[in-house]
Amino acid sequence: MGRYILKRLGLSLITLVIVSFTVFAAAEVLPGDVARTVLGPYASQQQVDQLNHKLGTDQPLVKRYLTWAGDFIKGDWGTSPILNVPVRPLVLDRLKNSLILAGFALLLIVPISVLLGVLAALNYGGAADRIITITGLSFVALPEFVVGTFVIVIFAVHLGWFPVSSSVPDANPVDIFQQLLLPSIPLMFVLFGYISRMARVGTVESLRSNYTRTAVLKGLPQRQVVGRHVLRNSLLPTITVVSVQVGYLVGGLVVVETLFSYPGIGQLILNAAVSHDLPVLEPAVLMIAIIYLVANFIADVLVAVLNPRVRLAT
Amino acid sequence: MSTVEQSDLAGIPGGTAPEDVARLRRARRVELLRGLLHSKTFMIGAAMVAVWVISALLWRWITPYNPQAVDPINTLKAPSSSHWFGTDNLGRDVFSRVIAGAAPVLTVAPLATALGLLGGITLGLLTGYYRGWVDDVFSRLVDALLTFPLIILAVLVLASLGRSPRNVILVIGIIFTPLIARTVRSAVLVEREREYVAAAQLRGERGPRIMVFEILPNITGPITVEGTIRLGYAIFAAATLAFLGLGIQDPSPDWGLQVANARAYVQIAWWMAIFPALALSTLVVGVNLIADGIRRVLEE
Amino acid sequence: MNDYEYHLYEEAKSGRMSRQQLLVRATMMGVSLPALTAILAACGSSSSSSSGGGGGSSSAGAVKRGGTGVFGITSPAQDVDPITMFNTGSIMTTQLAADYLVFPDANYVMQPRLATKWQPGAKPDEWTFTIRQGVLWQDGSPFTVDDVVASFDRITDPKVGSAALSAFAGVLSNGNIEKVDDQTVMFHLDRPYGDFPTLVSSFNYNSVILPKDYKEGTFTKGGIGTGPFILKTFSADQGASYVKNPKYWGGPTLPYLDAVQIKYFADTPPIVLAIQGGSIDVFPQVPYQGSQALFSDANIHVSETPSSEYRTLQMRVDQDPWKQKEVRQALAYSLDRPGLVQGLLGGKAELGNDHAFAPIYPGSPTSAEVPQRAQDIAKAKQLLQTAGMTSVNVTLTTEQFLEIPQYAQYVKQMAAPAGFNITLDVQPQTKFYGTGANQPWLQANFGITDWGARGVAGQTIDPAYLCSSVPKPDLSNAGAWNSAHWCDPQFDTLVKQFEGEADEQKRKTLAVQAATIQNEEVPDVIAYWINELRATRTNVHGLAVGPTFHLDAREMWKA
Repeated sequence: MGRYILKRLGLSLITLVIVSFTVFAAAEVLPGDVARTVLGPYASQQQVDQLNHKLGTDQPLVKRYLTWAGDFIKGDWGTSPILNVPVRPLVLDRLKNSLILAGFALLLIVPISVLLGVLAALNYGGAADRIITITGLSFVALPEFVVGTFVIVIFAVHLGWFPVSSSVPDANPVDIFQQLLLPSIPLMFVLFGYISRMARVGTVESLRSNYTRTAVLKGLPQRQVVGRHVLRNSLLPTITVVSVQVGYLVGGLVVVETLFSYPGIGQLILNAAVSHDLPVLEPAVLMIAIIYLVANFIADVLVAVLNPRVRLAT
Repeated sequence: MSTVEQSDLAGIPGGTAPEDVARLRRARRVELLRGLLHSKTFMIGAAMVAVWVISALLWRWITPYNPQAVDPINTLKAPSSSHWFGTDNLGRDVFSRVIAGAAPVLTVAPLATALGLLGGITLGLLTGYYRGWVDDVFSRLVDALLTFPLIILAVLVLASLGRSPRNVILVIGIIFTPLIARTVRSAVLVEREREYVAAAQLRGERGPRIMVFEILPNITGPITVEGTIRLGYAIFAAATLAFLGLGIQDPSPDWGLQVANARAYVQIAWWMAIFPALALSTLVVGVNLIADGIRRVLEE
Repeated sequence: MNDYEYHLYEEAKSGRMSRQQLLVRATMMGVSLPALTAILAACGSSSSSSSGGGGGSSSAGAVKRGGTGVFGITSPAQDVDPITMFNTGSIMTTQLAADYLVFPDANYVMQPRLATKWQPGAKPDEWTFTIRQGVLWQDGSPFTVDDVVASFDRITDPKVGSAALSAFAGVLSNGNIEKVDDQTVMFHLDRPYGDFPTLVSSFNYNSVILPKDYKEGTFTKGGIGTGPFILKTFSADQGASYVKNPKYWGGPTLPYLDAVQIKYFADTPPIVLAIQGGSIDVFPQVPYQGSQALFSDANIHVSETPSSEYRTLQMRVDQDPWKQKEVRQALAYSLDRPGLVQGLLGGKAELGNDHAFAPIYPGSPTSAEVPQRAQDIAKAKQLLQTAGMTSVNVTLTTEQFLEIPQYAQYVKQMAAPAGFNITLDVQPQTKFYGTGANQPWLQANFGITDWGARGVAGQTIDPAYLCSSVPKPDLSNAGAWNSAHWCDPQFDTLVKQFEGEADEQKRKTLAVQAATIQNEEVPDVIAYWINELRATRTNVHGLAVGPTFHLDAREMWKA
């Protein structure tokens, strides 16, 4: 078990290095002239050269990357030249807001999706199955901002049940639902599609498996069969898909936070990207990569704990 | 339709004469087409997409107003007989803008998909056929890259390269390349073990020739499905990037952009947001129905 | 009566100036109360000089004391300091706790605050201010003339880098603030400047009076100022809270509220929602675009006041294709101004006539004196032809802010028939303003910039249209905001004479001459002057309706 975890951890770290290098390359190498990008088209060439020198863009690539990554690890994230605030508290604060929103969406949609997925599987080929499957398929296809627009127009504008834009909720449950339910819906639409599909497939497979047949043949009541054997086995792929979807979720947050003016890290990334605020952009994106890798790692470990075969196979 | 015949065709014997192969392939294509015409899913999807393709091509002659013409006296007017979908914050006719808005998205998305297909097929054929360490490294890299929220990658790259439709095409196409390559690669892995490949190798044909003339024609099925699904994603992505302000700029009637502009007025002018959003949904769902239809017919 | 008072009396009798204009000018020049009474009597008005808070709903029954007033504003997104602040969020946060020497009401009438009286010398290049006695700082120490001198020494010191440097440039230099005695301060100006009280009022928002030992960056720790409320807590992204100042010099009557609170929001839509939902009482500065829902809400009162807030549509006169004035005029003639006012601001604006003398300033040229420019596509085409062009390709660079993106769209569409082929480059506001050597709003070939309300025409013209305000290529001359890079020595001379002139008739003549030049040369199109909007819940009373980037809550109360 320990060896397995170590191996996974190692893989995650390698992935992190690759991803961080990609971020570094996209932000600092791709534009060609970083200082020009930061200073804008009207700055003089002399000023551009000065900044390039200060930033060290005349240094070899690997060295630049190491310095850059080192600063990040040391927590030395600098100050945003555009917002005029220290970057670290800003990014961490926005990240916290986003985690609140994403956590809310996950808590709500995972049980629903699993339940409906299992329901579809138990009703394999029937009407309920078809409805759930087709809904899931079309939900996945719709861009978040489209779904978001629909729910805003219906629930916020016409019915007036919710605000058309959201802020970070207070700790009371009413406010949490008031602020977070609408922005969660577009995220939940997409998540529902993936998670219910996985839960359905997992359940169908375990229903067909030998041990289920044995259990049924032994004369156990269906409720017990489903509860004890099927559900447990169908949860494994679900955990994996949830952890993979954390990555999606963060991407979806960019859109949803923009649509609902929610002060999360997605909105921060977009604004930083549009205004070329690299000191904010890079650590924010890296934090997302880290969160994602941590989620994946935890999921791997969880799956391994639940299913010993995985450990042996890898 | 005869499924027996189809499964026979899946593994064309290596000894068959080239003209026979061509004839068989043609026959199979006709069969597939017939299948598609009978598929309800495919036909509904095709009809939905066709409406927007026609709009994209002919909007100049269809729209009742110039989609960019402003009218400061008639801003934010609710839908009426003179403006079916109302007017926006500049007094532009929303109906005309929705019709004309099919053009930008149906330009960007297919081009991006084509770019992704070109890169993905090339890469997939090479890695699948030659395997070896290049393949290993490639697979690892793709896995690592895929862990990353792609929209954020796109935001990052567009911020560096500049916001323009051309860059949106490039970004989506490049992100699609490894994804498509993965599908192509796994199809190639199956095909390369077949007899006809071995036969071609015995005849002394060189790798590139085998890939392009022997393997490629036999994996058009999965490529078509992959391409259609990707087209759906490309529309999704292009619209989302436009919504985020990273693609085409105002005054383009792009749907994503329209919804973004409507955000500030949603309380008093819901029509500004809802119609472009509906248009986009029908297009996306249409493309997905087509993809689903093709997949089913190929599987049968 | 002194000479100036007698002069105003003559103006009043002749009926050349309205009561409102007389009030604005009289308070500016520090006219004494008996003289003012006589002047107003001459124009047939009641003698009351108090225009109250200018509040639309201040007459609603007896004042109710106590309670908390909550304001929703756009986040300053940075630490607030009175010396360097320049955005509305910071300014309002400061103004609840701190005082100015004088403070304008919604009609730009100057009201005494920490100064009780002021008057120019024989020429308006010397100004004497009498300082209020018995005022205490919020920490209990006495407020003195030394604090006033130190405050102005600080913000005129180039080393400190206050945001007010541009406003004082060429008018008041560091070291020219003199303590005459324990009650009097004298300002020795670089040149005659008849509107000087504006520069020590909240129109020049950095002129906040701070303790002489104030350290920059400490304001948000709280307890600094002589104002009606004491800042208790501050968070750059949440907001600020204040309690009533028991030692306030306006006490024990004022302020009415026990506490006030400012909530920061990222954007307009959430503020609109907050006031509709009642979680805030006041939305002090309402942009028309995106706030339309407020006008139909029965629980909300939106007040509308004319102001000097405007937009410049600037053309770099030193660059092609704008070098010939015919091209600039052609653009000016291609715009449908009443259409812009309707489409962008729902009609809540006055027409602009391409000169910087806003209709709200007393003595500004009327359309009878400088004919109003109107849309005339044929003329625009002909002007382009005169300049030897048939079509012009330009990029319009501007910011994502208020109604400006829509304005840019209208310009693009309206100017197209005349032959202008305009590409839009709408940038985030932070990027458009930029920093250091990259400030697109000062460098772009063709742009739109937002200008907030000012107290007098000179406050706009000095930084924006004089030769001395043309930015250097590396932008090293801070506060030089002549974004069209336009320089006309004759215009400069006229403006300086205007600013130094006390005689109202001569001022008028000079203004018309200067405005005519600017209208003819069109360094920028000035298409409209915005009526400022302030939204309050209907139970809010006593709050001034403007100027809307100022926040004075001492007479506010809630029913």
